[in-house]
Amino acid sequence: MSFTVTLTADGGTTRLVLVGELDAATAQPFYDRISEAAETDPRRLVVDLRELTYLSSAGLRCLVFARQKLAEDVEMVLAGPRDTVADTIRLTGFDRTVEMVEEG
Amino acid sequence: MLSLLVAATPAALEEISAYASGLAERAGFDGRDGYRLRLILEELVTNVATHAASGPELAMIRLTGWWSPGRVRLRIVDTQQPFDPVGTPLTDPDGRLGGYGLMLVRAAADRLEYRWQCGGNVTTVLVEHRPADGGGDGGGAGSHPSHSDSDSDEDQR
Repeated sequence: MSFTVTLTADGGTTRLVLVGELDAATAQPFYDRISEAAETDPRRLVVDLRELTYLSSAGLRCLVFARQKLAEDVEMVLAGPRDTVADTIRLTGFDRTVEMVEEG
Repeated sequence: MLSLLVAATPAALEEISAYASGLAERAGFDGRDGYRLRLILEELVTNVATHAASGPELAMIRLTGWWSPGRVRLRIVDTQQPFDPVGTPLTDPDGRLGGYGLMLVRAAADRLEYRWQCGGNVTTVLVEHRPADGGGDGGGAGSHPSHSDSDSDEDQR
């Protein structure tokens, strides 16, 4: 199971692109990137989930951590989750805390 | 019947994923049902590792699965300290980093049963096909959690 996360920051929007599977074995690099993303002082954080094929509770905790790490007035968007990943997010109600969109 | 014996370590997750895929294929599950099955298994195994007093390398777990079309029943047995995934209160997942694993298992499983037997945790999970529109009776073990004294084997061996 592989996982990569890349960060880009452009004009107030910081984007994290997740590829692969995010679970207990692969979560640490994402935590590191979240801290880096917060340091870019974004107005908006887009977490691009189009190529994320699996999300466990460990991965979900990373997303929660991201929301907590950002200032309250920073918008956080989960973009393009696959149906299975979106299902996982909805099962916990986290979609009530962040915006989930098909494109981002 | 399909069995697997693993240590509850992160390295086992790949093996568990393959095991879940094997069961899903035999039951004729679609992608979403197969994903739920894998998620439930990985969360329960990870939970054993987290709470294992002996350390994850020595926390052995035996998985046994039975299937029929659109249905998989799993039995997960470990000999760590008692842990009840049905009755344990969820920690507050909002604000504190915890509780999501159990929350996902309870929501994703169609039935979840637990008993402490012969010095071990015995958890039984039922995963059934759910229509893509999320219909049916609402699913989720929240409506069917129980502590079991029986173990029926009506599914395929």
